[in-house]
Amino acid sequence: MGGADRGLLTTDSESDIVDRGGIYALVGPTGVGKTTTTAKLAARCVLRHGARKLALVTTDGYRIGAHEQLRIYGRILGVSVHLARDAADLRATLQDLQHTHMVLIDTMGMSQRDRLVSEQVAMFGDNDVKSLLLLSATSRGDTLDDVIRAYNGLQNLAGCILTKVDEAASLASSLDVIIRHRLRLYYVSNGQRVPEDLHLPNRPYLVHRAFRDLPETSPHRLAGLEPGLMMASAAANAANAASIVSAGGTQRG
Amino acid sequence: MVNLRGDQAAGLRRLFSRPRLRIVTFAAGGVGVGKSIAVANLAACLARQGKEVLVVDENTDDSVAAYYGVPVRHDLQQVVHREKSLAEVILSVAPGVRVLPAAKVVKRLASLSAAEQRILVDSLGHIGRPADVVLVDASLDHPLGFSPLGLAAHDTVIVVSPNGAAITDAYALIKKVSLGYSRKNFRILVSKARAASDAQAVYDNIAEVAHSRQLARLDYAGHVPLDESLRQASRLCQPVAGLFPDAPSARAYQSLASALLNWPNGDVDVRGLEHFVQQLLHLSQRLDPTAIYA
Repeated sequence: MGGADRGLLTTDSESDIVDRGGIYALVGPTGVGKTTTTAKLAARCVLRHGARKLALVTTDGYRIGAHEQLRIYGRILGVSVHLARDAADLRATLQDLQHTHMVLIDTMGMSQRDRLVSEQVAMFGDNDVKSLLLLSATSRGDTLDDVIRAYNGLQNLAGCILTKVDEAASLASSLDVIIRHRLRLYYVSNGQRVPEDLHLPNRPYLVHRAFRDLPETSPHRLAGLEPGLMMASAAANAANAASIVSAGGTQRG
Repeated sequence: MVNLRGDQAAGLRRLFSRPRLRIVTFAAGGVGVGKSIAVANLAACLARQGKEVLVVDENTDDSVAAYYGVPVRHDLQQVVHREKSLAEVILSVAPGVRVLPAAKVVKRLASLSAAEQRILVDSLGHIGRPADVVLVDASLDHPLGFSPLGLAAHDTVIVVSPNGAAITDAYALIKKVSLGYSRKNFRILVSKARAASDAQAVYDNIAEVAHSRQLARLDYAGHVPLDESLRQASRLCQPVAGLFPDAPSARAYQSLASALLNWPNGDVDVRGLEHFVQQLLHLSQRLDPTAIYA
């Protein structure tokens, strides 16, 4: 448990990005909560620094109602909302907003396998935009691995935000992935309410939840012979791989 | 947990949809500096910018209502004693400007019974159209030494005119309130100024002394020029900005009004007039006049 605690990189209240300011894009797969999280972060910034210190941008022209949704939040907060349709548009918009303390960019959700991901990576790279990758705690570990690998090319990937922590049965796989890829965890979201359900990471709580065992009645909990069988199978695979390698071949992955 | 009484942004709306009520008190160290005339004109300028202004007047003489040519017949005290309704006491002196004569009740705030306090709070919560800005014209002599309204307000503006006596009186007032009530932030408005540089000099002078004695931080709110138009307008019981909008004094009041609306709220705990009044009553119970005469 100490290893996990040491391995988990997080921000604290002294390095809260809403205080430091900057341009941040929220990126990630579909349906993880990018727009809602953008609104929560916007509220956090406005509450501390005032509406004039923030501008909102959306690059999502694809999803029905994406721009409208952010505009509604902008209206409640008294913050301007801009739509940027492409890289040139984004550059012009960011140029206009260069003196704003903080700019938050809501982006289109996309599959990590979509080649648009690399286009988006390039667009943000050209414009000095830091990215925050949103990861849902309800996703499978292997999917999250896939997602992070696709976005790791972002030279300005500042870190990640873990969403739907309230919905996830276990935090083990998502925290494992974050630790392994050495991503810095900026915020944790545990519900749909704007602005309440967004928090700086609470390390003891997260680590505790990650190691908490599944309920006894859960079919996903390993019981009886199962742990042994799982480990035996893993050991057999490893032995197999070793023999292939020593025979001069390559291991199939 | 999802609460279906609203949408997911219900908390956000609660935080941001409140009209931000601003309460500013105007005080002076002595008579004749132009405090009430400033309050009357400022109220008019704020109303011209679309704000609903309520002037709470602690003065019996030279009241703001009198400046508008409206006679004062009643007092908030009569509402507290259930002799009159608030609607009968409040005076609509101009579009967007209402005056609440409160001279009598303010002197007795500390000795109101619990029932009377409740009436006071309730009635101020129901002043009809809610106010955007409350200007308090504080009285000079107060049994408690300083108006509790001045202490409970967000901003206190000390009006001073550019002559030795007024400056001395203003400084004495600042010293009294700073030492007696730990109120350490004030704004200075210089009225009847012959030139902007004179007014700036008055402010610099008084701010320097207050700062060096570590008494208070003074911000410069601006100045109102000495202006014949202003005198004419007041003789006609009209705000100068309506009669002579291009007069220097009118322009000064207009820019002061805009600036006032943008003054930062020190503590962002704005929950309306009832809250202010509750704080006020709370304060007036605790004010100890002996502290400042010591």
